[in-house]
Amino acid sequence: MAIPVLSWWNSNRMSGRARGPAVQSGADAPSPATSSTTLESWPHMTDQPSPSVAPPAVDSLVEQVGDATTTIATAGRDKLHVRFTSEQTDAGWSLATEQALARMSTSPQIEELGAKPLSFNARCRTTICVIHADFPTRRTAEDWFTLYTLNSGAQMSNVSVQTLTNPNGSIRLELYGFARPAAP
Amino acid sequence: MNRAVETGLLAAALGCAMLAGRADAAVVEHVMPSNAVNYCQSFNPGPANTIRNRVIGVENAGSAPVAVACNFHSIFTAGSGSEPPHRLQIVFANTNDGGAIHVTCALLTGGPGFGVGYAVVKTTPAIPAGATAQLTWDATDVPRSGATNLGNPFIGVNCALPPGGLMGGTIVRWRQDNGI
Repeated sequence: MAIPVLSWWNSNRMSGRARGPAVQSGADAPSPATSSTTLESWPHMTDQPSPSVAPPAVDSLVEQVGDATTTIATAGRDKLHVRFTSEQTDAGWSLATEQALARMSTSPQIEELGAKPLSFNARCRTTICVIHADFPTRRTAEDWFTLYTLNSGAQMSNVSVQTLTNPNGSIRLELYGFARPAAP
Repeated sequence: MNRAVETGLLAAALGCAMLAGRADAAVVEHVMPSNAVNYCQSFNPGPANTIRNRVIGVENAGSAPVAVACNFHSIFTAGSGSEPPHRLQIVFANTNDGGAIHVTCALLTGGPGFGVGYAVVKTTPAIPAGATAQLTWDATDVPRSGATNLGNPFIGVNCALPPGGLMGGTIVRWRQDNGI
């Protein structure tokens, strides 16, 4: 991703000067003196870019995005997983919440996109639920996750997701979610 | 003038000069307002889609909820003290005369291909017809301890826009140390 972006940036920068006169050649073009002054005053149109302007470190950006995505998701997953494993089961709440989460696993829009899960299972304890849902493809899994987080938003506020591949090639999403807001 | 006094005055002057320079040091708060139509689009576009891309906002003119996806600009200047955005606010309006609505949105950061993700889902209070409400995400929504920003230059939301729901103003904020 980094190389095409940098190449585009360089070619765009170099072609800027070449494109300049063509823009000025129409009947309504401003006087040469005016256009020349205006163009040369644009740093990216000159042959000598200001030394204070460095090209963006795209490689660094790509690396940062990857690190940040993984770090945040892992931190969120760890917090929810630790809490889930340390909780007792609140039988009444957990059963009602599991049923509510299962009802939200499909909706007209999920069905319209063909993103209904092949299987769905939710287990809740006192505040945290873990959900396993299987899908035929990664695309259906992504579509479902996008819509399910919105469907279940009133029930589950913070959600960590991990994508796994089942032995038969189907895709499994494992979600940990915080499903019980603190009492006001 | 006595040499010791001269030296003292010179040191004091140098100190003042350095302090004067440091007085310019600042962490600048950048605020980037926009209307949602600039950054949002229907999650599943098509002829039957009921999203209206108005200049004043993205409105669901249909009779069923529609998912909308938005991703926002941030600034990346490696090594010059800029941070990922630390706050995102979105303003919603209710154009539905039929009654109050709620809007639910999930904040998602990062990119694809990592096999993991984290979403923070929020719902507005009831928005009466003709009124507005907003949702805000900030560093407190990031699960990493000690977070001071949203943790990623790529930030976006998915929203379930109910009939009559309109996404209006969006405000992204980030900080930059001016390097002094």
